Amino acid sequence: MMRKTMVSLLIVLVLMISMVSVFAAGQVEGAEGKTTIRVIQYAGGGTEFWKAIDKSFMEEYPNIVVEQEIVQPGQYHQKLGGYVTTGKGPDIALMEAGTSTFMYRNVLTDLKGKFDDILPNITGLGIYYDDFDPAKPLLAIPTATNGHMVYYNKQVFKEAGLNPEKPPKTWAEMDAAVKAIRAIGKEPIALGGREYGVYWLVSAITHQVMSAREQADMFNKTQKWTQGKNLNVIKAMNEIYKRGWICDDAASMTVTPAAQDMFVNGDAGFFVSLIGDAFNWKVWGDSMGYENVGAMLFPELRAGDIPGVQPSPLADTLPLWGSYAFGIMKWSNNVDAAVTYMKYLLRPDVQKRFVLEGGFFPNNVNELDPSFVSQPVFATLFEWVKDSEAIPGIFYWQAPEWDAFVRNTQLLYSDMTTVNDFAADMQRIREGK
Amino acid sequence: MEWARKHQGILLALPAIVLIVIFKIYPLINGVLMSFTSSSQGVGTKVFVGMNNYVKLFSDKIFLNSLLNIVKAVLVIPIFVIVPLLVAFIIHKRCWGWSFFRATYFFPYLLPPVMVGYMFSFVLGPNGPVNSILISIGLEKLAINWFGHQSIALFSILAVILWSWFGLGTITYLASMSTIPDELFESAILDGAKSRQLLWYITIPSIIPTIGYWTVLVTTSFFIGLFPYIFALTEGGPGYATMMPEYYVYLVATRYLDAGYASAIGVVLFLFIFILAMLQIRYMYTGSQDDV
Repeated sequence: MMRKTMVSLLIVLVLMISMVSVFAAGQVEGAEGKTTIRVIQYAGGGTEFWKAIDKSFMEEYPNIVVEQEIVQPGQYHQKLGGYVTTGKGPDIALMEAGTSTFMYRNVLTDLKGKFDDILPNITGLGIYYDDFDPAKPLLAIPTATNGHMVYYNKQVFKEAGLNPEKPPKTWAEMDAAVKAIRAIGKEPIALGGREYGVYWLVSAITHQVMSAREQADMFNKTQKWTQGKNLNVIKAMNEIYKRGWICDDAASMTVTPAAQDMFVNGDAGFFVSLIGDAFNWKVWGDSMGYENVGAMLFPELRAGDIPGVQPSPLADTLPLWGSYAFGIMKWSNNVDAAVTYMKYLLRPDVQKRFVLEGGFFPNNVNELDPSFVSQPVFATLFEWVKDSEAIPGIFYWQAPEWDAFVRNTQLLYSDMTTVNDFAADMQRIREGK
Repeated sequence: MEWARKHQGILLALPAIVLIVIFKIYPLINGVLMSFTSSSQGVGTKVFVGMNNYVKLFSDKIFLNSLLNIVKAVLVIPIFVIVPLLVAFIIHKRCWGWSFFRATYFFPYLLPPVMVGYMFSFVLGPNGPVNSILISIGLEKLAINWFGHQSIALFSILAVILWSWFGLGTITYLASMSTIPDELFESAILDGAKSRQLLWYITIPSIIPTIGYWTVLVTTSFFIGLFPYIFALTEGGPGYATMMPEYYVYLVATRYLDAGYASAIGVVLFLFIFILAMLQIRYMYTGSQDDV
């Protein structure tokens, strides 16, 4: 009996120790004599890319160890939110632009004064100042650049009898291109309307009808969705649908694989997406041949194109922002090492690797010559970035408004709602009803 | 040592109790407590808001619409109960075509739901094989956008789910049917009973508790088991046409980042399922007692 009891107690002890060991795992201290900085992000550019970058960094700065915590994008905020709740965690965190960064304002270090030597060369910083106000704390530093524009398939252009070196620049020219493409039985814009394809489209559209100040008013909520320029955004979304620019069945189409395949396979002429990150020039070039990829700004809206809607002064510019930004958490005891790491990411030689190995678009464009990439499409995008400083208004939106906009666009592009009902639903969501 | 010997049972159960408390009880209590807070003002910053989240729920059009969608889904539960029952009966009684069903019926259930979703988004897509076949046989009008129309999308998803789940229902019914004494069927056949009568007068009355069990399982799964299909097929769209409460919890928690409100929806959802399941189980129990 005694023996049985002893065995039972031993089993219990082993199980308890195992559980404690499991919970204790991951609490391992960094190497002695070195500063360990932990970074949480979702590894845009791929895990291997970040491993290679960190390896180079640690070779150059042997006293700093970088540890990456890679989280799936869909779980990122829960994970980071958990650290925020406990008040301890990684030193550096990836910050998505605009209102998404502001959620963490209470736990982010003000970076003003810490990057003064390189600040003039950083592109698209505006959305990382708290409340978009440069007088307030600087919450994060972008390491790449992004913007919404249109890629076109040169092969489809040729088949439709269009000049592949002269993409449409105005709405009237776009109408003509759409007509020619539809005439050969193909679709114009391949749109993943079921999800984030709408974000890219509406960002380009907002730029057509709103000035930077008006876009900021969307954030300030001084303008109702049911009137003025906000309503014009919805009118413009409707107008391009009525003009036949959007592919059939866009409302239920995924970005990938559906819309992406449609464009790559030459079943659609245009794809509204990004200059960097995913669905960028490199993705298209690698999948359909660089000779077949063209890049253009969203066609410029002119007075009279939409009755009662005036074009924006930004209509012929790129909606641009600094992307893949990092913030330093207030609880970090390794701020200096974190700043060193982030400055390293922005160094011109590392920025080239961001492009060549990670598929990003560089942030530090003032210190780079685009000739390190041989593809002409890259040089085109590079010039746009150098010439633009316009913040896209979409970053002023809150998540429920985003979601509602996508859903109402689905209904609009299936003839199941009207412009006014769309606007009313957006306003309802804005008011939290 | 005497103390340890006396409490040996508790000590042995302790690891399991600790695990249940950590991974079941604590999250449940934490979820309920969280439903009285709001974190929308900033991630990690929780503010006590009392019953506000629950009050907001009942004026939230998206949530109310998701409940309406549940009601629509519940209307098709009889199909979810009857189809596997018929397939199980065909296999059990070796009716015409039984060998085909025996070889294939469980296969759909083995596929991961997300894979089923992605598969059918292609099969029933605007240019998918189903529409191609319909067009090729001159039924262009039926070649619609199955997941892209407000009034059809929900039922298209339910059809996919029926395809995916009926194997589990069939095997459940088959297990129950195997307990019915063969003599019952044999004597009924000697008396001239047809298949329909064997089903109606012998099989169904004999497996009523199993039918009840399957009905409860399907009903509760409509509340908490549709997520992967909706995620893969429509993400709750077009508009809010296929929005279900559990998908709304996901949206509010992960996209709107309002864990407090998401918890409140989760708690209400839990109460709905709990009450519904209790009612159904009580009915089942009463039914089986009557049989005895």
